[in-house]
Amino acid sequence: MELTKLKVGESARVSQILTDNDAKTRFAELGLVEGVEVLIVRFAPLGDPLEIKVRDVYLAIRVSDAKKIMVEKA
Amino acid sequence: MNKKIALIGNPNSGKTTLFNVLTGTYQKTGNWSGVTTEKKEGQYLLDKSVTIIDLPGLYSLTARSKDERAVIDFFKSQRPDVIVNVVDGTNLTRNLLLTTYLLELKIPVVIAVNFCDQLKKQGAVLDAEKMENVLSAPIVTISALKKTNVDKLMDIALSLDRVPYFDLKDNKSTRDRYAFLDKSVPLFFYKKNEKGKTFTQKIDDLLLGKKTGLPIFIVVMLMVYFVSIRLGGVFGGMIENAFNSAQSGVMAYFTAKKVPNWITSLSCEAVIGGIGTVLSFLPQILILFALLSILEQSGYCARTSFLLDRIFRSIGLSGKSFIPMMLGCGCTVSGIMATRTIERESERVMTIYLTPFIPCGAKTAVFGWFASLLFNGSAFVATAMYFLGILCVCTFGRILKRLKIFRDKSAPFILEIPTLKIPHVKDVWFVLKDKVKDFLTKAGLIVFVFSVILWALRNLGFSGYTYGDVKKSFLYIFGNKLKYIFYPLGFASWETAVAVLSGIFAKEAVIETLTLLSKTPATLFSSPFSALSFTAFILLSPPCIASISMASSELKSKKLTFYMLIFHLFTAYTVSLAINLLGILINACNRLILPVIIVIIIVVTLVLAIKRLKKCKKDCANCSRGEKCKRTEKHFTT
Repeated sequence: MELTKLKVGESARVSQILTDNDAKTRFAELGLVEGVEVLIVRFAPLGDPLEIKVRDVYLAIRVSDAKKIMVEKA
Repeated sequence: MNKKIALIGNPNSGKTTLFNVLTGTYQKTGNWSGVTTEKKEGQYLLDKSVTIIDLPGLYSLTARSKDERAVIDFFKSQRPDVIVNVVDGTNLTRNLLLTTYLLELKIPVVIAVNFCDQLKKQGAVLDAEKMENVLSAPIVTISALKKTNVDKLMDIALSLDRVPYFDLKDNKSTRDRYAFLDKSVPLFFYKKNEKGKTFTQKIDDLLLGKKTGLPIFIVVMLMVYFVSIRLGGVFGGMIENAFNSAQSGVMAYFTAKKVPNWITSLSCEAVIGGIGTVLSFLPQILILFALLSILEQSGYCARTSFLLDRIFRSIGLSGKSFIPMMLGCGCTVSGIMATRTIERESERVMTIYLTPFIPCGAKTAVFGWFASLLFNGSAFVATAMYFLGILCVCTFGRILKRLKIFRDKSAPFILEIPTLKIPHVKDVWFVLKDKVKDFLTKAGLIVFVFSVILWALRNLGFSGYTYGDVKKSFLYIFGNKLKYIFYPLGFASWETAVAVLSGIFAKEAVIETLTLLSKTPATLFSSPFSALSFTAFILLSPPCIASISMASSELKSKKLTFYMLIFHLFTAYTVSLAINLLGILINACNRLILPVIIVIIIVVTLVLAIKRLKKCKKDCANCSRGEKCKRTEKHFTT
């Protein structure tokens, strides 16, 4: 399921990243690779972007990109 | 023996702090990714033959962003003798990704695990010996801020000549590198699972919260603005008074001593007057910079990008454009420099084009001067100009977005949200010291030289010294030719024409020029609207020479720089024209016509609003209009 379907405070494991290759490399550099655990920290006051926690790092990504990140709940 | 040591690491891992400790200099540090935007060199305090190089932070060596390319170019052109890889210990795995690339360069590497004091607090344990075995490079745990183990790090770095033996064989993709790290990091690093929310998270619940985030942001920005303008104004007034009394004192002294007329005029009007005017804005700019650097170092700056991304996206930018624009409130040059962290090239160019529309410290000073001159010192002018600047950013952002050169949608928006930190007084102080120095050289040198040249052009003509008869001077002759361009904008006098031109050197020079050229600058403007049209022109016309050269070096293209100048001239001219026309219209309208115009405007907006409402929603599947919709055909086919 899509990362955005998770509720705030829930975490899951990334199963697939469906963005183009450039974006995928960029995500990977920041630690967001397939198999890693992500936690939804919060959505911005205007609903977008959202803050996630990956490997002790807090990252903000846009909802449109988050929809391309597939996760599986443990 | 001249050794070159390069500091490399992830953004915000503390390289610059370490650099400052090692070289004893003070470079700007901040708490967001991308403070260091170009390499800086310094000499090691304990051994001057050792050069230390601080490089911009990066995540890998794949040459994606401008910073990464800069670092790779650096490696190719001048190979450092030793790499000190600064690693953020609180976020080890992610930081070690870059390390795996560095270890393959066949250059000796020392790994400095930074923030060891924080690690201890968190109860984490790092086995340096095992880590050395895995990565085949020496490890030193340091705290750059508290200067722990820094000398030990340098001892090892200077005696090191062993090239690391590190080979991932065929598994060189980022994913493989992470797989390797995920497997090996637990071998030498143990960390307790954090229970509950961290301190940063608790504060962020407020700073970024659904209901509290935006109100806090607005309050913070208003406070920054009002404190710097109001408090700065008080101190500025004191400086101005001091210079005024100095001026009259010197004048009285010179007249009594029968010093030649032209010396009195040059030293009082040009030198004391010129420097005094500029210095009176120093407190305002200083307070603004202090507050901005506190926001930057606490980590709030990065958070504003998170809060505002949604808004900036609608004009083709992202939240990352906010930091350049906010720094642009202080100085356009630093604003343009901060665009380096924007990955998407089109967005970066657009931010460079639009940042000068945000009034910088110097422009704010001009508006403040105008307010006290023509509008009884009301805050209206400065506020109106801020809104005008923001309005122009939005409108022209939307227009630029549609142009072909600004359409590319590669890099995704990813922003690191740093841990909140309490800013160090020392860091804020050194930013300020830098700014004061900068400002004083500007005031002392540029404005001084400029004042003298201006004085000369005003008092000299084809017949030599004019004895105060301005109409014979070079400046009058030239300004009179130039003024016709500004006729449609409502400020066609030779003084204003020269003032606009002088703004190219530094925007402060506009005040300088007007006070020097006219005893009563207020009379140069026929109506409040012509004054507003003038301030708008100053706001939107091409920025000072320093900003233009910064922009051109950042754009790396003469064509794009040229377009930028044309774009700014065009914007300034049209907006000023519109303001002036509006003024003429309102003046021409007597009490009968004005309501008619208001009614027409209301009717037109209502009609437009209704039309918009009636328009078919893009989401045809859920549209209730169904077949009645005029666009049905189109939508069914696509």
